[in-house]
Amino acid sequence: MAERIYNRLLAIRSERGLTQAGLAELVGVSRKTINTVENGIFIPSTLLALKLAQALGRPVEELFSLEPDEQE
Amino acid sequence: MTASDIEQAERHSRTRSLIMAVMAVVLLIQGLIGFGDEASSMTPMLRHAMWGVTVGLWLVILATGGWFQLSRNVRSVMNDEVSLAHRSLALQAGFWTAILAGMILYFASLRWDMSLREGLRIIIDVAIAAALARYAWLELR
Repeated sequence: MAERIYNRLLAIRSERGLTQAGLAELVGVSRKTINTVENGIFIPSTLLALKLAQALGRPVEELFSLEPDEQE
Repeated sequence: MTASDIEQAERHSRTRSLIMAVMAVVLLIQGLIGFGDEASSMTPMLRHAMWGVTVGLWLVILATGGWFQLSRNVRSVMNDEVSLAHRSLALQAGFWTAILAGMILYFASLRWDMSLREGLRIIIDVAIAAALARYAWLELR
């Protein structure tokens, strides 16, 4: 079983030119939630992961993965 | 959901956490030194009622997030996934503190006399204080 989930939220959010506050507003959560997910401190529920994917216009598996991103 | 809702929610969340931190200290002191029965100018009934109301209020806030006067949108951001996870961890801390306090008082009662009411008040105060402190720490760090 994987011990952590890797995410590309920060990279994709930056690509879209969104701030943490902007993404928080789109998804309906606090900036702290976006920040903790981006930093891997908090693993979001499936519901929140899907909302993030929808807000960023990307498939959820592009945002989250069990393997680290090759560029990392 | 608007940017103003998010800003308001973050502001109220911070205030809530700060109040919880202060209340944790107050409850801890209250639990450890008691009400000062002889020194208090309040009647015993009023003192017990005030304690019951205070504890009840903080239990409701720990269970629901409180701040019911705010709009549904603001409350939903204040009680988003991270906040709910923090509340869950805070309640765990409260549970373990209650068990530990109960065990300490059990063994302490073998040596010192203590009324049931005193013992229960200490356990409840210390457990709620632990839950509030844990929540405040998780939210404010």
